[in-house]
Amino acid sequence: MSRYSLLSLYRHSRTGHENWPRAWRNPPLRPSYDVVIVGGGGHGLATAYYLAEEFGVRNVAVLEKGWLGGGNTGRNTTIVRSGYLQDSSALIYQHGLSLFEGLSKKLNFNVMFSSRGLLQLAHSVHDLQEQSRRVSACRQNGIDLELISADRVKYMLPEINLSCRFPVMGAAYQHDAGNARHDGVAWGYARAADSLGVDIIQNCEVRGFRISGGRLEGLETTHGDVRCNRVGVVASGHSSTLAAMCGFRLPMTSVPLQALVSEPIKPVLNKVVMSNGVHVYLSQSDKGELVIGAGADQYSSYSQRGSFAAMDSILSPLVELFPYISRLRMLRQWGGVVDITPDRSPILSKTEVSGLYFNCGWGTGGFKATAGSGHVFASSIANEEMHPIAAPFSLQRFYSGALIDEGSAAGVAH
Amino acid sequence: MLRVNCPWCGFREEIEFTCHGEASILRPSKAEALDDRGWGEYVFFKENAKGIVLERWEHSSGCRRWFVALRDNVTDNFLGFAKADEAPPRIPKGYVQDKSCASIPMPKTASGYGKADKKSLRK
Repeated sequence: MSRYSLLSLYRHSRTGHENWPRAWRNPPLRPSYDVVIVGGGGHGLATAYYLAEEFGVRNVAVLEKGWLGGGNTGRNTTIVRSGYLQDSSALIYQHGLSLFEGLSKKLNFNVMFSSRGLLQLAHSVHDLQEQSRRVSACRQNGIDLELISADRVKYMLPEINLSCRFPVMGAAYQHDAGNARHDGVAWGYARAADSLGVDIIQNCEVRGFRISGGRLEGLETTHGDVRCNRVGVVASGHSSTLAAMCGFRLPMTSVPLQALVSEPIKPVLNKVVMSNGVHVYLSQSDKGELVIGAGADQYSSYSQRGSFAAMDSILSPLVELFPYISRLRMLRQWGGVVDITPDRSPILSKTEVSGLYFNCGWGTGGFKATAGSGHVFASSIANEEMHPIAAPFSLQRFYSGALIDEGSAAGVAH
Repeated sequence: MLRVNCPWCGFREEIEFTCHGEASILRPSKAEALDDRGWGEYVFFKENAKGIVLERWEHSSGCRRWFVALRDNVTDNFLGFAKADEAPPRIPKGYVQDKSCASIPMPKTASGYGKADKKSLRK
């Protein structure tokens, strides 16, 4: 890997920036690997990177049926936060947030992580009580959340209309939450993993699993068969399709979640704003576009398209909160297939097939956990024992009843 | 916006309806004999099939009655509707699924549509 630095920038400027090497190789699929990761999104690439970098497993392939980061990694609204209610969630999301700090340096790739601060608005006394409970729970878990008054919300967001139909009464504020560049995260992990010897194979779809006596022996792909005893499936919305190939079901429904961006404008918003109450989330990208998250649709779908009804339901409250948005044109709109679990918490688990691991169910809020999820999943696969942070997120919880209920935190798409 | 054909009211806008998920899920006949695993499977686990699915819908902001709908969840096209006590809608002859379903065989009937369900629907 050629290092990116001021010096390399200068050197390449002398030849008109025409000789930059490719960021990663395009190798053929070899017949056998120690570990195969199915899914080349952020979580899959992070898993491969940490396997090679921290756990010394370098004979690794990442299979991606489309292009890198072309699924939900490239379709989210890039929010990184960790203010979750339950202890297990707080641990895993805080682990992710702490890995984001310093990630650019570690990967030698600018992921543009900006901890600009995030507000979750409260629109009623009940909202305030719920926020105050969550703020206390987070502080117990070492996450720096605070409850702020409506005056302070107005000070931070001068354009907000506090006395809208559902008046803003305060907010929970996390100062070290923010955004990162989603493509940058995928590309940074891909480049760093590739340089450690990981084979990244795009346009390679898994067609079947070879299982013998309850043990995983290999995969059938569109690029041929591959022998492998450990496979991590990180396929978000398509996990159920892959599980069906192995003969079991997952507790999840794949639904469309959409987002949209406005035309670029001058800086107006230097925080991330979320509201569970009126179901809005908003931030401004470095390009100046307002990035707006819309709701999930109610029906299952693999179409990567959201409905007009969901878009309508996000824009009407948004215009109430920030009236200036009514005069902005929207540039792009897109949808992703998100994997919603009954308790709105992810699944990081061994399965009934020995050697087969699943990491899925991140639903509407997986981007923030990219680094943390990849790290604990890599540890679990390398040690063949679930990492302590990942252990509570096992499939077993749907039989034992030990659900990690984040419905209130994730009832709104994030 | 999708247009949904309520068997009682005719075509209406999607926002009048609630989708209640897979039509194949039935309450176990011997519920008292179920162990934790059985309950978990029944309550939480889903086929979540890609392609043609049979679902229960409710005209929640209209006549409030339930019906079954056959839908291709790759294109979001509805393929047929039926009242809950009628025979479920059939996949139209010659219907071609999206290319991305290449690895998934074309079902003879809608995915997740078990024998038990067929019996209960025709009762």
